[in-house]
This record gives sequence, structure tokens and C-alpha cells, in this order.
Amino acid sequence: MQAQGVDTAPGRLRRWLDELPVGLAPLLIAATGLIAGLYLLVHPVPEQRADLTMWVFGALHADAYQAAAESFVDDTDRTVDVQLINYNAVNQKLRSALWAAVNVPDLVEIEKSAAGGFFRGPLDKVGFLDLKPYLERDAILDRVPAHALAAYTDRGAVFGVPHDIHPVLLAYRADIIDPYLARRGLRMEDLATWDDYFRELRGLLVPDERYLLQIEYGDAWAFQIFLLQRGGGIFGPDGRLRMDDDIAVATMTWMIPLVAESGDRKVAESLGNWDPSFYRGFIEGYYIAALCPDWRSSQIQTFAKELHGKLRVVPLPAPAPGGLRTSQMGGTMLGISHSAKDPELAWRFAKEIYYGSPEQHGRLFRTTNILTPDRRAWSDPAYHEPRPYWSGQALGEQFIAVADEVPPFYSSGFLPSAQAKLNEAIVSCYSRYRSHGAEGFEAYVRQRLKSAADHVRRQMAREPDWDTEE
Amino acid sequence: MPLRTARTAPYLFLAPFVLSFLIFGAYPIVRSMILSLYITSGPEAQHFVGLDNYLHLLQDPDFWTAFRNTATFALGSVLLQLPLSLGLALLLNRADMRGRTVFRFIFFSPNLMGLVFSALLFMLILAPRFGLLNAALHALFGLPSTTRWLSTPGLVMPALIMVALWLYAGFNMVYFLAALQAVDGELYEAATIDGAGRWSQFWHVTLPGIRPVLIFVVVLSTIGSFQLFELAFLLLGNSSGPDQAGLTIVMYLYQNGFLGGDLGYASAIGWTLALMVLLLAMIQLRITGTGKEAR
Amino acid sequence: MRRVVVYMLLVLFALLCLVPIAWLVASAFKANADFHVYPVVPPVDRLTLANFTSLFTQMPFLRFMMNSFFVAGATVILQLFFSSLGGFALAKYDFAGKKTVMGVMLATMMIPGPVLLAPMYELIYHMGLIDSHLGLIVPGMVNVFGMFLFRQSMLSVPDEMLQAARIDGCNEFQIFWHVVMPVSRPIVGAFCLIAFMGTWNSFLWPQIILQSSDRFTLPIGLNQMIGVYEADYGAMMAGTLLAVLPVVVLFFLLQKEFIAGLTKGAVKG
Repeated sequence: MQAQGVDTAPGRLRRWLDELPVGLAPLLIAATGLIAGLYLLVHPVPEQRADLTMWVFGALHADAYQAAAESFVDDTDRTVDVQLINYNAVNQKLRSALWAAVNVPDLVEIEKSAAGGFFRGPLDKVGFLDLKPYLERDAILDRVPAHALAAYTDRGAVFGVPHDIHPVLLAYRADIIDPYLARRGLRMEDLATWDDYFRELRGLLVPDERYLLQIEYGDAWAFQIFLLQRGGGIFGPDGRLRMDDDIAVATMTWMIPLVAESGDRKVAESLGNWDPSFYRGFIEGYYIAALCPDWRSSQIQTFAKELHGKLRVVPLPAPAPGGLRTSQMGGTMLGISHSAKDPELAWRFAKEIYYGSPEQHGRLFRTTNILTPDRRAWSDPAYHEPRPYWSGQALGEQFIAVADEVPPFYSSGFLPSAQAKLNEAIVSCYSRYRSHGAEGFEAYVRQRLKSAADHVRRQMAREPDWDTEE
Repeated sequence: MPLRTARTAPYLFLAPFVLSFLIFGAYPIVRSMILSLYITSGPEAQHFVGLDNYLHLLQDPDFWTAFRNTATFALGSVLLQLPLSLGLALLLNRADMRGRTVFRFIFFSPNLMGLVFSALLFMLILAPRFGLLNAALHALFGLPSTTRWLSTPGLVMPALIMVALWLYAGFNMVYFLAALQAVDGELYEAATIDGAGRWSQFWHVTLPGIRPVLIFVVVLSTIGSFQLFELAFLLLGNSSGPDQAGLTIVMYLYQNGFLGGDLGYASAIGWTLALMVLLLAMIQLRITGTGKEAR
Repeated sequence: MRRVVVYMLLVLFALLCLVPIAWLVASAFKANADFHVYPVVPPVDRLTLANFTSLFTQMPFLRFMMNSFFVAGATVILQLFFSSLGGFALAKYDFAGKKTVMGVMLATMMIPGPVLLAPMYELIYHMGLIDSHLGLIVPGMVNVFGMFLFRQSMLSVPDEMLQAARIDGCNEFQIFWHVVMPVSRPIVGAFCLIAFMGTWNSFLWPQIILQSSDRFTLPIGLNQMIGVYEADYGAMMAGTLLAVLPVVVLFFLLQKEFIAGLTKGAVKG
């Protein structure tokens, strides 16, 4: 028996839907899935059997290398697939790839602090090729400052070539500081040590409104900058942990009071670490100087346009008279993986992007302000152009001037762990200073750093001696 | 004949599930168990250490920091979630039908956003100057707008708990609401006749009535909280937060395995966590006496 | 009076829930430069669609969406099939090894995902499924929670119905499909939503498995935007907004079934 209208198409459809055992939901989901599947079928992923694959985590790098890849095809008839991987994912992906020995890219850029972790294990099983023979053969070793290779060298093998040097200068509010100093017959360049710096600029300090330096003590970067400046380091060249040696203690004892003091003895503060709040603070004069590695200087150009023409860079004031006027922060290396099918080809591309023409580096400098380690490129005009943003300074020249003095940074597989422990130690020392002041501070710092370091040493002790295994 | 097929039927029905479970569940589980007995550094470099990973773990201050953080999160989360979602459910129970649907949708919508996208959203909401939270606190209570939620050690966990609360309060509320509605109205009537006040009714009628769901929610929330990873990972980037304040057990696992390269130790951490969670669940179930309650 | 208080509290919490979402919507239409200037809502004349255009030009967002839909669709259907069948078997049959199977599976729910990442990766590689959607779908077929959900719900299906169907000559699968499933429709709806949400928001595993950006799902694709050198907040918010919409729509359609099915499964405890 059929009622009127039920036998129409919509009626039949409705009946069919009603009788469908599973109901509407799965149908809907299946339908969208199907449509999407069809879309994907119609727009298949172009199968790229590129001759080389490269993983990059910085968007700017990716763009530059993409352009290089295009001319590489013209020159060599071989293709390069430059893949942009999320920064947070690169290490994880690489590790997984190495672990499952699959899909390992031929070339990969790794950030300095993570690189050490990939050098662990037996020397011949490290996932990256020793590039020293290539560097020597192509006479590149003398073009690159030796300290730049430190972080990527392990047991004598050079597992990565440095993308950069990342010297650190002091970026300061020339519009505020220069007139003030001028009135007293001084110039910024005269403030040769940190003591000079804080003493001479004291008059500019206004508690809660204006501080003399931005120091973000919480994430250990500032500490490491000062530590390296003083000739210290977390690890030494032999892989030995030295985060609790005398230099480290001295650095901590000096740095903490700068931020932890109160009233008008507190000279440093921070609102953020090169994030929007940081820029706001700088713009509003909450702090009038910041530790600035080359790569950050381009960020500030982008995100703090209001400071155009108001900033200048100078070498860092030294820890003591005659001391180092610069430091180091951050870094990226390029490695060629052990499983690269054609290492020569990979090296050729690596040379293209890292040790290419001066013009190429100059162009990179114009967009990113990053100084290449390749000395040969430093003659390019791009490094010597006056920059209106930086009050007409030739930014490149400023960085080049300190490039050779940049202290080496030694890496280790335990660097992340050491940095985490260092982090904790800094925060403890900060709290200690806030509650107990200077009394007994140095002793506390010494003990605190030692316990942090001992923890890492215990971990290191567990590490089997991979090279004598077998 | 129906009887014969009835005998093989369950095996057939379960077969696809069990098969894929064996391949994608059992095999990796066993493999990672084996891994936990090694210190590793890459695919071909494994050094057998037996139970040393576990012994080291027990003395590893970082693991205990992670444990403390995770336990804090779990405790704070569950202790706040429970009254909140139960309270919301109680309130909603008194609302009329239409209002109930609307509010239910609203309360559930954070959960709809999903963890990943909520984390992306909250990354901006928690930002110091222009973030919504600080702007709102500043406008409403005059608090400084420079609070750096994710960069201040003492504020990281509260921030994470807050986001988790936002995400899951509505989810748990749904369970409670249904449970409340399933409580027999007659029991309330009887209690009123007996002269029981509202609080007494709540204690003696409502709570026992929703007891299974209560236990279910508590156990599930605890297990979930102990596995906190993605939220912290997305909000804090690759790091464990300032002064390791955001280090959770799974995050520590990840750091050791995927940043440090020692997948053996990472597996040991994972298995320790699994054991802890199992124990905790069992304790909770034992304390609350599942299934056997007096009517 | 009490009514008023109840409603006031409800409204308060509703605001707390909605405000971040409203902010999301507002931010999606806020120009990047305005983020510092207008923390909450930009004035109407400064609303812009620029974020959406930059979203679609900076990355293959539509493709991300299609990838997500495809993977979610396939995974959910497969999960539905396997979990409901399995749940049915566990609910309505007694057989040797039943307790063991259930016990083992329950225990595995406690295992944190990241422990299994490396061995899983190895496995997927040997199957040749790295950087493919199948690599997401195939391991994803296992949904232990779903199976228990179905079991719980199907326990309450009267045995008489099954017996009657058997007498009518139906084989076991027919019983499953024509008798049990229609009755379980609410739980199916609930399960579909949960499973869809789970897959849609899946992050860690896809991030490891997928390598070509053309295969990325939405969470991975959006997270990419937080690169080392720039943070395009507006586009990020625009993308997040779009990414959330499908789930919202699905929930809207399935709200009743979802609530009913979920709570039926849980209340029985």
C-alpha cells in the first residue's frame, strides 16, 4: 500500500535514508571524503623524483635556495627539491627518518643547538658525511673563519658547514643615547667596557620607565652571549662540560644583579624575547639597547618600523678592558646525509648556496642581514651600503669588523640537556639574588652551577663509548 | 545452522580489528619495550643496558620535575574540571529545554575547536601585550598587560590548566548532564518527603545516582592529563618552557627520543608512564569501588 | 529569583566559552599591523579580508583542507566498520579468549602515543606508506575506544531481537547490519563525530609521516606558518577559523545523536 507522494524521488530518497542502517552521519562523512578524494585524484601531487632533496626550516632560506635550485637545473640538468619543514618539526622528522633509515634528505639545514644531538654514536654511523675532505679539496677551509666550524665538528670530523657566523653587536637608540653622550663630550664608541656603559648612561635610567639594556635572563640566551664574550662556554672543544667553571660563575655573578636588583640599581629589563612585546618595549624606550645578532637586525627592521633612523649598532662593550667586543648567538649548519645517493652532486649544490658568488651573498644580506662566513663575499657592495634604518650605518661593515673575533661555540649531543639545566640554574640564581641580595651570592652561584653541571655529567657518564663498541 | 555460524561469527567479526591491532598496536608495543632496554643513538647503534634505563630514570631529577609538573597539571585539571563541569551540568539541568540545547552547544564549542587549533588560538590569546587575556584582565581588573604567561615559570602550568579547562569543561559537562537526567525523579520526591534539604539531596541522591559517570570522568580525565603533550608542545614550541615549568612526562620522552636521539631511554620513560597511569587508574577504581554500590 | 541566578551563571560561563572564539573570528579579519593597536576588536572600517587572501596565496590551504577531508572521511568509515563489528562481537557473543582480548586492549589504551612513534615509523616505511595518506588511514583503523563504546551500547540491545532474527533465517552479519545497527544509530552518530574530530585534529603522527607539503593536513599546514622568520598572525587566525568550521557544522547537524549516543554509552558505566 503506497500513500500519495511517497513514491516520488525525494520520498524514495528519504525512505532510503531512513532505512539506512547506519544513519546520516557516516553518509555525510563518506560523501565529503569522497568529494575530497576526487579532488585529490584530479589534482595529483606531482611526483617529483628530484635528484636531490633538501630540508630547510627557514622560509627565507627556502625562497633563496629555491631560486638557486632553478639555476642549478639550468647548469647541471639535475633537479633539487627544496622542502620547507616547520622549525619545530625538523629535528623530529630528521630523527625519525634516520631511525627508520628512510626518506632521509640529501641535504638538511639544522639549527646549531640541535645539531650536536645528531653527532652521537659511532663515528662512522653518524647520519652526516664528514665534509672536511670536501672543504679541503675545494680550498674553502681558509675562506671560512675557523671558529664558525667549531659547533659542527665532532671528534675531528666536520659534519656540517656553517650558514652563518652570527656575530652579536649592541643595537641601541641612537636618538636617545647619542645626544645624551654628546652633551658630556662622549661618543658611544668610547664606552669600551660594560662598566663604562652602565656608568656613563646611568643618568638615563628611570626605574619602571627606562632601562639601559634589554636582558631576557629567562631563556639563557643572554647568559650565553655574555659567557662566550668572556671566553667561556657550555662545552669545551674536547666535548668536556664547562658550564660550571670560573668564567661561568663570574658571568652569572655579574649578570644576575643587572636584572635582579631593585630601584635604581636595576639597569636591565625585558618584555619579551624578540616577539611583539619586545619590539613594543624597544619602540617605547622601555629599554634603550639590546644584544643584537645579525639575523635579528633584519627582524627588527620588519617589526619595528617606528625605529627607522633611530637605531645604530656598535661592538659590544667588553667585559674588561681589552676584552672581546662581540659574541655569538644562534647558527645553522648544512649537512649532507650519509645516505645521499650522489654526495658529489649534493656538495655541488651546497657550494652553490653557501659558497656561491659574492652577489648572491650580497643579495641575501640585503634581505636578511645575515653575514656569510665566506670571506670572499665580503667585498660585495651590499655589505657596504649605508642603511637608512640604521641611521646611515653600513651595517655589513659593522658585522664584518668583528667577524673574525667571534668566539667559537662548541656543541655536544648533550647540549639541549645542558641548556635546560642552565636555564634552571639561572632562574634559581635570580630568585636567590632577589631574596638574599649580594651576600654569599657567588658561592651560591658556584654551587648551583656545579649541581646543574653534575647532573649533565651523570648523563654523559652513561653514554657508552660508541667507537670502541663492536 | 544459525548456531554454527554463531560460533565462528564473533571471530570473524573481530578478525579485521584484531589483525590491524596486532600489526599496528601489538608489534610497535613489543618493539618499543625491547627498545627500552637499550641506549640508542641512531638505527644501527644500540647498546644493551638491561634495566639501567629504568634505574637511571628513578634517579633522574628531570624526570621527577616532569612528573611533578604533570601531576600538578592532572591534579589541578581534574580538581577544577570536576566541580566546574558538574556545576554547569547541574545548572543546565534546571534550565528549560530550549535553553539547554543552546547552552549545551555553547559550552561544547571549545571542544569542537579541537586541541591543535585551540593551541594556535591561545598562543595569541596568551601573548603579553596584544593578547586577549591580558587586554581583558587589564581592562577589567587593571592588571598589568605585560604578564607573560608562557614565559614565566609560575604561570605556565596555570595557563595550561586554563586552556585545558576551556577545552574540556563542556565535554565533561555533557556526560554529567545526561547522567543527571537519568537520575530517577522519584528518588528526589522521596527525599523531599523525608525532609532532606537541597544539599542533603545532592549528597545522597544526586551523587550516588551519577556515580558511574563520575568515576568514568575522573579516571578518563586523569589518564588524559597524565599524557599531556600536544598542548604544551604547541604552546611552548620545542622547549619545555621557562625553567622547565612546562615539562611533562611525555614531553620529556619526546625530548630524549627526538631531540636527544636516545629512543631507548625515551621508551623507558614511556613505559614508566604507562605503568603509572595504569596503577593510578586501578587505585582510583578500587577506592571508588566500581560496580558494587549499595542501592 | 533562583532562576535568575542560574541563568546569570550560565551566561557568564557561556561568555567565557565564546569570547575566545569571538576573538578568533575578529582576529581573522584584523590586519596584521592592527594586532598591537587593537587587542580586541578593530573598528569596523579596518576589517579586512587580506588575511584570507594571504592565507590562500602563502600556502595551498584548499589542498590542506581536501587532504584533511579525505583522510578523515576514509578513516572514520573504516573505524566505524571495524569498531562496530568488533563491539558487536564483544557484546553479544561469548567465546574463548574474550576476557583476554578485552583486557589487553583496555591496557593498550593507557600507552602514550609517542612511545610508539619510532617503531611505527619503521613499520610504515616497510609498507612503503611514508608520505602517503594511506600511512595515516591504515594505522588509524584501530580505534579501541570506539570498539568499547559500541560494545557498551550494544549490550543493551535485547537478545530477543537477535534471536528473532536468527529464527527468521538471518545470518550473523545480517543481524548485525539490519537489526543491531539501526537501533544503534545514535551511538553511530556520536562515534562518527568523535572519530572525525580525532582524525581532523590529529597532529603528531601526520607531522612525522607526511613530508610533501602537498599532502599536509590542516593542523600541520597551519602550524607551518609559525616559521622562524615571520609570524603572520592574521592569516594564522583566518586559517584556524576555516579549519574549525567543518567540525562545527558536523556537530550542528549531529548534536542530538551525539549527546544521546555518548551518554548512553557512558551512563551505563
